[in-house]
Amino acid sequence: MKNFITTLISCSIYMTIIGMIIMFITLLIKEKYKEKSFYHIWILIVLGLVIPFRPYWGKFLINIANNSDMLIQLVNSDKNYLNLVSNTQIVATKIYRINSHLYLFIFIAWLIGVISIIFYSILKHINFLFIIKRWNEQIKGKEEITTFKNIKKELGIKSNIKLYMCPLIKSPMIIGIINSTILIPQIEYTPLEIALILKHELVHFKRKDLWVKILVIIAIAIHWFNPFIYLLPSIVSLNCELSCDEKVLHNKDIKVRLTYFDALVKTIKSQSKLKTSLSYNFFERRKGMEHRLLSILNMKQKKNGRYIVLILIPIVLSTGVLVGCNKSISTVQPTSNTQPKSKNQTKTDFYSKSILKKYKSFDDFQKKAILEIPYSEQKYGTTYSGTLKFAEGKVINTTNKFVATYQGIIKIKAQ
Amino acid sequence: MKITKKLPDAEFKIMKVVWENTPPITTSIVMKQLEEQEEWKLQTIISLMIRLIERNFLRTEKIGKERTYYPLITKEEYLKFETNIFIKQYHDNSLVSVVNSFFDGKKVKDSDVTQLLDWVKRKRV
Repeated sequence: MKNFITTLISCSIYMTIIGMIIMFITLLIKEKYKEKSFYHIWILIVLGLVIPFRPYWGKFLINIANNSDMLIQLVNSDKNYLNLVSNTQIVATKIYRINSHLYLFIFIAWLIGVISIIFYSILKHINFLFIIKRWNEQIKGKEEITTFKNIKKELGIKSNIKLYMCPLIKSPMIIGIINSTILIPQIEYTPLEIALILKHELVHFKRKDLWVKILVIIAIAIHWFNPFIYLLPSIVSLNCELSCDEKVLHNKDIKVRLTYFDALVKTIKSQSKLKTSLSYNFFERRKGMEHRLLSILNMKQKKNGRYIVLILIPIVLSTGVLVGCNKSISTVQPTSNTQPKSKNQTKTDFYSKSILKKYKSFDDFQKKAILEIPYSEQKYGTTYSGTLKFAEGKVINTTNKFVATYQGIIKIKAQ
Repeated sequence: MKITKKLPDAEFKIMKVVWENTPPITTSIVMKQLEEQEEWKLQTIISLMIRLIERNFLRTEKIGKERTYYPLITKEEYLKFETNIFIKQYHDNSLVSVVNSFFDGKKVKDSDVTQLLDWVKRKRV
């Protein structure tokens, strides 16, 4: 449990740092590269936030119940004690995690947060769909329906996408992953503007941007304790829109761009009439809007930043693997053979550093000895090494933070 | 007349028909237009319209044998009311919605928009 929580927090912190570095880098190079590359980078980050937990979920849950035995053989190279030690087998049975109530409590609190955010989002969305549906009206103009069909053909979309007018909303939008519907508000757009707006929404459909939004919700649900995660939706959303604008306006002349610009300004204007509560924003929204409007008119050729995304993939994924390891500790398994082969065996992976000379008898040793057992564990291509300290048959200390939660009951028996 | 409550679905459907037609409205007009969507009996429609009268959405007159209905609240008035509720629910919502908007105006301040529009004006000149 503790490992799970530390994993979660370390992943959150790691991804926050990466996100901040990327935001900083973006400021420096945003003029040079296509918006698409930045959008892909953010999708990668969202995946990094969501994925590390997925492959290890099952394993983690099973691990709690899976208590394997641990056999540690003590062999001392010191000749005087070789006999004693080689005849001694320390059997650590039932290694299990300390089911600390505190960690369990934190875990449950986290889980409640995750479930409530997901449920809240689903309910809110269902409610949203119902309210919208009440007001949906058929598009009356035949012209719009023909343009819609033409753009669909142009983009190679064969799926059935509905098109409605909805007076309740203030911006055109696309909703629904299964039954995709494009909604147009009651705003006086010119036919050319409508065509560009429809293309914008259909590009969203083609790129499956709604799936990204769902991933963002999952990322928020998992990392709800991280205050920075709440910045993620607006960052991803802005990058998504910017790259969508870019795609729609690819190779378009300034005339088309100005039409698009006007359509966006009209939409912004219609929203300004609404009264929204004053809420503090970490980012200045206006800057985002200006950025978007400016980039619509920007006709400079930009570099394809594909390699930036490629460089970032291992960085983000490596976190995932590392984070995954920390969590899924099962048991410490000695790499050597646990049965002594001969009395003269001097080299093993596990040996006792304790000075056994101090003890009068085996019983005395069993009572008083503090054993320091260095061990190494190989997992996921990484070697973890540390020292386990045993006293009175219990692990009292370890230098490796990854096994800090082990409690061992050690039976020492003379053979 | 101030609207205080959101209309239930069934009554909203009746009102939609009322708004689409020029008054006076009769139950038979409503019935005919809802035929395709709903299998409502005449009695259901009459009781729904009575409820709408109680809500002050409709008023009724009796000319001869026929009872006619007139809207008291226009579509625009009611739309404004629902839009406000809708905005409160969805624009002040800090969480993401699974929607791709052309322009996502969530949490945009009015002052920001006016400043932006000034900026646009300056840019275009």
